[in-house]
Amino acid sequence: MKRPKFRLSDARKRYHIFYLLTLFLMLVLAGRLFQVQVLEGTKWARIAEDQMTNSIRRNTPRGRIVDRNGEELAVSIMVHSLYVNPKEMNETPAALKGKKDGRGTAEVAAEKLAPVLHMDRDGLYKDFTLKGQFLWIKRMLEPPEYEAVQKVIKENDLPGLHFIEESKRYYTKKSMAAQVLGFVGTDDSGLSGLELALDSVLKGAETRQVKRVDAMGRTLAGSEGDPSDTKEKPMVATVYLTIDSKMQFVIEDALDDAMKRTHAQGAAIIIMDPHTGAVLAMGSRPTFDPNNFGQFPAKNWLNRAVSMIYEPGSVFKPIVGCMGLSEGIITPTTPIRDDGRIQIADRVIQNWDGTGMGTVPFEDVIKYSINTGMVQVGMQLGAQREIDWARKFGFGKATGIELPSEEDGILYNPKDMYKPDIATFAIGQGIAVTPLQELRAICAIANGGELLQPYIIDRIVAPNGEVIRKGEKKVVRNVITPEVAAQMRAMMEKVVSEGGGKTARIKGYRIAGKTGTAQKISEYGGYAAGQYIASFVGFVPADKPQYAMLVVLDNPRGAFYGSQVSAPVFRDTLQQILVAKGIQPSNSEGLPSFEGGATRDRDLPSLMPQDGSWILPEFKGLDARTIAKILATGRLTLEPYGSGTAYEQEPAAGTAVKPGSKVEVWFR
Amino acid sequence: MREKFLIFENVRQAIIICVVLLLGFGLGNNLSASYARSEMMTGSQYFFTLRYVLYSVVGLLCMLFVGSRFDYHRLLSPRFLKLSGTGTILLLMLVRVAGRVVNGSRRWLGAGPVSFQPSELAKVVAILIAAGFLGEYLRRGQRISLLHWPKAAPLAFALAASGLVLIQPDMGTAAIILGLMLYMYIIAGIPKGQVLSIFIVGLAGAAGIAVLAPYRLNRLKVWLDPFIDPQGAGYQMVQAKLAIGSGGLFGMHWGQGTSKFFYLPEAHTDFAFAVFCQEWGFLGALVLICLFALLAGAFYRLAIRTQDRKGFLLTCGCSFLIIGQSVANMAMVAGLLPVIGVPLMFISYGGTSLVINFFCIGLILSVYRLEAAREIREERMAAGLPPEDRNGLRVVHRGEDGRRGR
Repeated sequence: MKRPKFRLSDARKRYHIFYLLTLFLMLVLAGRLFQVQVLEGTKWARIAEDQMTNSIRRNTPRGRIVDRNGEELAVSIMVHSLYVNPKEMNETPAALKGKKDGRGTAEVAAEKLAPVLHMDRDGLYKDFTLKGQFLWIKRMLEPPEYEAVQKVIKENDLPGLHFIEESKRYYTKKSMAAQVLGFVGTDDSGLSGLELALDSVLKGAETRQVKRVDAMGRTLAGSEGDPSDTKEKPMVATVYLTIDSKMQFVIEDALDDAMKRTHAQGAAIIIMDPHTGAVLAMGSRPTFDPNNFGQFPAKNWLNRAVSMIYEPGSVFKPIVGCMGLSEGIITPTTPIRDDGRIQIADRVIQNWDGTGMGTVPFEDVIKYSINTGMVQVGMQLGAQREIDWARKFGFGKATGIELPSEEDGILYNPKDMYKPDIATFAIGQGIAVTPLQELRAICAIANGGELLQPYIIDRIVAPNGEVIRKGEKKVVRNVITPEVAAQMRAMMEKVVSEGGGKTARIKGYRIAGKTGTAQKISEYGGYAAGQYIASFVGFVPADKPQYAMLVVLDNPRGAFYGSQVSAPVFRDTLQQILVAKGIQPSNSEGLPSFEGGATRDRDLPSLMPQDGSWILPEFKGLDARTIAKILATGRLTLEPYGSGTAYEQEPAAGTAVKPGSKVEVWFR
Repeated sequence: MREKFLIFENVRQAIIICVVLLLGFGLGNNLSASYARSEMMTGSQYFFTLRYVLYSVVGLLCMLFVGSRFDYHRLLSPRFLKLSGTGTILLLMLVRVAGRVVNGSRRWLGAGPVSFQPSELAKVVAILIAAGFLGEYLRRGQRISLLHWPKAAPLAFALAASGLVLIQPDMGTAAIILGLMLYMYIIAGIPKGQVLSIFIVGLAGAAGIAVLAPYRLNRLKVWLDPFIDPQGAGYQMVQAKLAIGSGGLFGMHWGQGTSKFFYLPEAHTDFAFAVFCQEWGFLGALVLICLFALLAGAFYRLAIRTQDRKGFLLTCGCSFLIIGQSVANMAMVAGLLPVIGVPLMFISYGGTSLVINFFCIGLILSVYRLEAAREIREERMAAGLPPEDRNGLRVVHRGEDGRRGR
């Protein structure tokens, strides 16, 4: 077969086709690049940026919580947390170079770090060889642990191990006021107590450090966000509580002791300033250590002082008494007939011992806690007035203190109350209250009729010294007249001096109080057989009260009457506080220990240094000689006016003054 | 041949300027794309760049020598072709036995710091064999065929070489060697029926492979949409897309690209174009494509004006190697082709291919020089002047073509 010749020109034509094809492909390529780079460019750029951006959240230390005198209760410091980048540890040349006697870096690292970190070697090895670029090994290393780890890393030239600074919370006084303070989780978020309630105030300033990393997760040089951003940590606010560490210490001790002695299921003590509503101490049992809150059952975290609800029993009688006095149903001298038992509809209500005292004045009804007498007052009040008054006294609604998980308590709807309900209400049954509600109502009697808003935050101070928030006395309403309050105070004083609360007596002091024993409400409804809530509430001194205090013991074993178990706790606690606070006894029966100046000297106010100046303390109540002595410590001079004890000063307490300045104080 | 080409004095000037510019781009891009990996692997940021410079210098010397003092016909004699063909096959077999394994593939021969990739050599030898043998048939005006011995001898070489490369394994290079040879056959004049069969067999073969080896089908799927497996099979494609796309219109500027920090595998070799696109943007990529287009145009002009059949085929082949591979590489990086290992001339790092590349340009320049000399001689003859030009005489007399031309 004769084929036509293939000439050079034919070959050129074929090449020409290939050439055009190439140019066409280039055109397609340019079109494709236009699509990817120009049309979709921003989208790909964003994804590319995302995959290499690593942002680390850092918290500056959390704000401090201190007591009213600035004593530290909760502080935060920056500690180091260790993490591993397994890819960097095992795949970089540094890692391969480090291979000695056939062992990989991960193996060496696990072996060397296990004893330092007190962790399992095999577990560490597993972590070090995982896939990925970030894994926490141990968070919040203690400073010596951190130094030891750093030393091991340096000595063995271990790649892929890094630290991140985190804020760690320390509760300096361990379990003291644990339920009030609460605790924080690992990410610096408050989980309970004031830490939760004030989380936004306390939380350290959060800074985000954005940096670029390579595909192995290693930081690219020069890509880190300005490090000065994270170094200059703005100090966050300090929270001053109304809590007084000394009193808190005393009640914690008393609670421990009471729990041990009575084998109670739980307990709560509150001390309040009856004139302001400031909580001076608040404790709850069972308790826990907020430094290691996870090691305790969750029920220990509960602050029973605000979240436990119970039938108050006889400690409610002074309140019902006030209702009767205010409504004009009775006066302290109104004769009341006591037969030991009284029948209301189908119910028979007895006195605790079942015996009657005949006809007695009303004040004896309180003094001896006579049930039949109270029932008669209650029946005259009737359902509507009982409940209305209970509301006026602040029951049935949370007090609004700054603590979380506060309970409302339970009040009857008056329409639902049958006669026996009306009767038993007067002896503190058929109403559920929280310890804080009960104490606040008693404070209204102590302070002459003002129902106060309880508070536990004294002030919140910004780093620059500015007071962001100030806790102060707030009167919710005047519930009773000063006369009625005074009458009830007198009756309550007799409870301790002559009546059922003798076990709370402290020699030389006038104490007003009331015991209470109530059957515990069962969680299955009705009352729990053989289980009681024993309480004692009172204030001191009875004529011009300074401290009001409530002791509640939940289900004590053995003796269960308030007068037997709670009143002694009240007495012992108060006695120590009175000594510590230097409250003079009201009469000559004073305890000799008060005469010793040592105890008092220690509690004298002193000058607080600040930036080369002195912060002046409150001088009110001190004599000129003492004040002069205090001022001399800071090279300040006293300019006294008048004589006696100080009542006014210039500059005021809390003001900063330069050494050498003059301080004016008025005495009377 | 010697007339102006676009704005250039002649084609040679255009080629040299293109090469110098591409080399500049390549050097700059290599510096940026390789330093992170270089530092990690060797501790020095410039390890790969220094080698790039070294190979470039060797390649440039090679190009200058071949382009200015060398007659390409000396490489096209049947004796030399047989020798080089056999030698290449032997080297490829040696690789099989004593080659260095890198990334699970046995491709390199080497001792110490010097290594050499015979499969790259096979490409240029295939061009020489095709130009030499098939050029002779073209000169005689004879039809060639894939099916007649000895006309199919170059094909046999290509099959053997590409088979040996395929088992390295390096499917990309094997396909290039075979494709290159078929391309040469097509230009050199196989019947249209055979051309058609090549395409049919090629398509059927690709389909067959896809069906028989499901993992390849999977690769095909990943190529069509790499985001179905962005951390696995699609990783490289996804990273290439992110690198190219994030460059935008103007790019992140030289050295500022981020893909090279181990996100993009082969950032300084096969995927160097992605780094280039990220740092220079769409406009930079367009300039690069235009440079290759200009180079392609210059090669085309030169080939079309070449009277010597073997020189023509040689130019076609070298153009395929330089332009064809580069376009294929860019299309692969841009996701238009499946990932096959072809280099982007001057931009992607690769010692042997860089030297071979310069050598090919040297061959093309050699074709230009001889054709220009022929033109001068013919002009002088036409003008009735004796062919006394010393330069022309010396070269022409030494060449085969010169003897024939007399």
